[in-house]
Formats: sequence, C-alpha cells, structure tokens
Amino acid sequence: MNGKHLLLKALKERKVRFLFGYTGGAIMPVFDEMEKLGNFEFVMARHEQGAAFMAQGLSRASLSTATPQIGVCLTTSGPGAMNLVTGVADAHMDSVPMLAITGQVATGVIATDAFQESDVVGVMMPISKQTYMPLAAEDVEKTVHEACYVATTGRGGPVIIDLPKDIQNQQVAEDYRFDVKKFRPHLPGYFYTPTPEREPIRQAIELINKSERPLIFCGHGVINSNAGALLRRFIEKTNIPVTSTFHGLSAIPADHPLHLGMMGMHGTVEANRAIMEADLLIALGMRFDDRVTGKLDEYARNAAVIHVEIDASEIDKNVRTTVAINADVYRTLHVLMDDPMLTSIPRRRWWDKLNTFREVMKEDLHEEIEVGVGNDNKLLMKGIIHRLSEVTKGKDLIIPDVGQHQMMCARFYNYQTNNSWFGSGGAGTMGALLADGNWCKACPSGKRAGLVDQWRWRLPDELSGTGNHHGKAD
Amino acid sequence: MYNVDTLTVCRPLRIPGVSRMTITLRENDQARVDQVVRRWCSPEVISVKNLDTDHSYWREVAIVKLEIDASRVGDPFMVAITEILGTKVTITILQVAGSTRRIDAFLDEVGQEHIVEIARTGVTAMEK
Ligand SMILES: Cc1ncc(C[n+]2csc(CCOP(=O)(O)OP(=O)(O)O)c2C)c(N)n1
Repeated sequence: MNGKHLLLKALKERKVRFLFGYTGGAIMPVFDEMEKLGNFEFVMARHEQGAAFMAQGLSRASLSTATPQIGVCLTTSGPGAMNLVTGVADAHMDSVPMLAITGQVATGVIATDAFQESDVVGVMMPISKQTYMPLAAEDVEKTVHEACYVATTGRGGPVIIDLPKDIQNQQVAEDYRFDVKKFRPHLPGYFYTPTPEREPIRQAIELINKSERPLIFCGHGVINSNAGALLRRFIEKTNIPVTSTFHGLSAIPADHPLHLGMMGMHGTVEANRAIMEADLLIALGMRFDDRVTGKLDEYARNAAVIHVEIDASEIDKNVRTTVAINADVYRTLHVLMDDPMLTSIPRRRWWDKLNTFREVMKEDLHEEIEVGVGNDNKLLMKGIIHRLSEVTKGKDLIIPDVGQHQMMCARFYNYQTNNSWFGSGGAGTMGALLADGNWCKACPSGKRAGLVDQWRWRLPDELSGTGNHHGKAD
Repeated sequence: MYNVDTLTVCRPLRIPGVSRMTITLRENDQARVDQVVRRWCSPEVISVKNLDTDHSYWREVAIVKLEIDASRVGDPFMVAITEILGTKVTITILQVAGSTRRIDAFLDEVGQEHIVEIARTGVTAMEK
C-alpha cells in the first residue's frame, strides 16, 4: 500500500463522494489511483479557483442537512495550488469547512525552486485553519482524518494537505497498521468548548432580565449550529428583537415580527437605530466585522455586550464584552431557555420605539418596490428581488455573487428556510457564485436560484465550466 | 494590529518537533494582550501562557563589542555584571546576561558612542 491509495481510502472513510479539481504533474499519481479505484465522482473545473468554490458550495449547502459533507478539492503543485488561494482565503473568512489537497514536488527537490514548486504551506498558513505536509506514506491516512476533524469542528475552516509526489508513490512499512475506529487526533492545544460554563450563563441571565432595551444579533454561528428554530423560541419567549448579520440571514424567517432585518452598512434603518439605542447586545456566533460596526469608538456606546462565540479569539477582538460565553450557540441557547431564572418581559416601550424606526423608510421602500422602476426608467434591483421572493415564496436557496445585487438579496428576499442563503461575505469574491451554486445540487435542499449581475457573468462560467455537464442553477 | 517585540525559540523537551517560544509584545492594554494570546491558539500550538513580570523570571543575553579604555572594563560595575569573551587592541567583546533592565542599564552606563556592535537574544522566560 502506498500514500496515494491511503489518501483516497481515508477520504472514502470520511464519506467523501465528490472531488473537485484539475490535474497536473505533481498530483498525477493520485489521479491515476482514483481512476483505478473508480469510486469517486470527479468534477473538473476550468480553473482551480472554481474547484475551491465548488467544494465550498457543497460544504455550505449541506451544513444544515442530516448528512453534512466536506468539500474536497484536488490540484497539482505550483500554479494549481496557487490558483486555489482565493477560494481558500474566502473559506477562511467565512468559516467554511473544506479540504484542499495539493500535489507537491518530490521531497528530494523541495526548496530548490524545482519545476512547478511553490511553498504551499507558507502561502496557505495565514489563510487557512491548518496546513499539513506528510513526509512519510505512514502519515497520510492519519493526516486526512485529522485534517477533516480540524476543518469541521469548532469554528470551521479550510485545511490544506500538501502531498509530495514521492510520498504519493511511497510504500508503507510492512508492519503499518491504522485503525480508523480507534483513531483520535492528538492535538493537545486544539480544543473548543461547546458547552457553556455556569457562571457566565448566570451573569448573562441577570443582564437579560435587567435590560430594558436588549437586542439579539443572529450570526453565522446560529446557522452553523442549526440553532434557528431554537433562537425563534428564545425570542418569542423573551420578546427580544433580533437582527441578522449577512451570514446569519435565513436562520429565522426574515419577516418574523421580532426580526428587524440585516444590520450594518447595508442593513435596515430599524436594525441600525436599534443598535444605537440598545442597552444590551446579545451577539450569537458573529465577529463584529467592520461592515457591521463602522467606527468602533462610536459603536453601541450605551450597550453592555454578551458575546456567545465558539472561537475564543473572536471575543474582545473588535468589541469589548461584558459577559463572554465561549461555547456553541445551540447549546448556549438551550441552557438559557431551560433556566428558570430567565423571565419573559413584554418590553412595550422598547417595541414602541422600534416600531417607529420601522416606519422611517417603510413607505418609500414600499412605493419603490411597487413601481419597480427607477428615475432612469430601468428596473430596480430591489423590485426584482422582491418579485423573486414572492414567486418562490421565500423558500428557495438563494446564492448571490458579489456586489450591489448581493446586498439587495440580503435586504429584500423574504427568507423562510434555514440556511437558504449564502455567499462570499468576508472576502467578497466576485465569481464565487456559479461554482458555489452548481454544487449545491449535491445537497437535497430543493430549488436554487443563483443571482449574478451583468459584469462577470463570463468569469464564473470560466471558473466552473461545469454548468453544462451538471445542470445550471434552476 | 500588534507587533512582536522579541522572540526566542528553543527545544526544551526531548520530543522531536516541539519548540518552546517566548514572545514579547509592547502593549499597555491587558485585554488586547489577552486577545492576541487567544489568537495564537491554533491546532499547531500545544499551549499558550501569559507571563507577567511579577510572576515569572525574564532573562536575556547580550554580546557587546566595545571600543573602550581597558581601565573602564576593569571598573567594579563592569566586572560585577559582565564576562569578557575576548579583547583585541582597543576592542573588547563582553557578555552580559540577566534581566532586560540590567542589560539596558549596562548599555546606558557604557554609552552609545563606545558600542560597535550588539547581538541580543531577546527574552526567554519561565513562571515562578
Ligand atoms: C474578484 C473580485 N474582483 C473585484 C471585486 C470588486 N468589486 C466588488 S462589486 C464589483 C462590481 C460588481 O458588478 P456586478 O457583477 O455587475 O454586480 P452589481 O454590483 O451591479 O450587482 C466589483 C468590481 C471583487 N469583489 N472581487
């Protein structure tokens, strides 16, 4: 048995079905082995960046299903690996689990500027969750299992395995044994704490009960921990208004009476005014990105902050917390809901105020959407998105590209289904859509609508190039 | 943004592939330091400890090349805190080890104009 066989064996054990990529000299042995085994569906992109986004699309769309899949891409060394960079950086920014396997030149010529050699580990380290370069065939299987574990636990992210060509072909020692059932990754410094501690929960409940003007931030963590339905029960019990981040949208129905819409630079008046007036922010699985906060020293000056976040390094990064809960959002909401100390308060004065904020733009927007055309007699994006929402009853999976139409989708589509919306947020990569979108069909979540404006219709098609073979967005 | 001030690396245990690093930052805000420390926790890192000056020993070593009178090398302050590594005509190479404050005090005492070259390790530290 050799490295390439063990690589594919481990991927199979991880239930990987699709591999997205492009071939080349340094990964050729793995491709040959894949052909021989015949048990993967390989999807050839036209450009490796497209392969990275296809892998992301599969991970993102299957996240909330009963069988989440990790998107895996496979490329050659040097140029192949470097073409993955944007897709990997994008996955890192948006906490998307993903595995990128890149061929590398043989160990004997590493660091000699060999043909198609690039320092993949060096380039990827700051834009991925973890990087590996197995230097013996015996390490390959264990590395794949550890990589998948790291990519999919805690805060998700992309993991890279840079596999030298000689290791792909290397035979393992005769006494080599690996038992996947007994395998536990040995990562003494890597831990995440899903269950919240008692004391911060007590403090959080005290703050919530005492607060006159609380506001919940529904972040990506709500989607990632499948906590949408629970959050809905929580807000209905406590009468606390909720606003979503870009990645938090669709966790609860967009037109829920307690939902104020998206926050931040492209957000609604009511959400942003509520932030300014709130005396308590309850941030669930989000990172106070600059598009959310604007100027930090003027941000939510009157508010105490409860920050629930699985990634400890996000706590106190941009906004100083009053109570930090380093845990999974679902489990935290569960503990809060079950706590007899949590009281249900009508908060009528706060709601009166919020309803006046809602009135500020309501009529103008309503009229614009009704008319549907702007001063220049061109169709308005918000009108189109609103119609799309009506036609689909807000139920389809919406994947925008990047730009103005993306923000319109965030604002004017009436999301009704959990995880029915995603796109390139943190990195804002134009061209992510089609590659992302095509691969959502691998998950059983119904119809999809991919939205792209005029500029780059060509680019994503070039990236993915699979539209014709695997069906374009419906 | 933060800037690493000093960084030392050693292999403290006989475990292949494991290194111990001492990293210092210049930052007055303790919450920011704590946040940076949390950011260093990655799958690659075994553990990160925040050491403060009151509860840990901080030491460094400097090798200093001086152009200085032989008589000054013999003065009691110099003798007390340095070790002579070598001399050549008007040049003396000294080693000074200890706390950062001690090394800084030594360099101030000698005077910039006499220092030809310095090699300094940066801090290595351990909890008391
Ligand atoms: C790869 C990449 N290049 C450039 C940009 C900068 N950029 C952001 S939006 C945009 C224009 C998008 O135009 P279009 O696709 O027509 O969408 P619209 O904004 O009109 O909805 C550009 C160039 C980007 N985000 N990503």
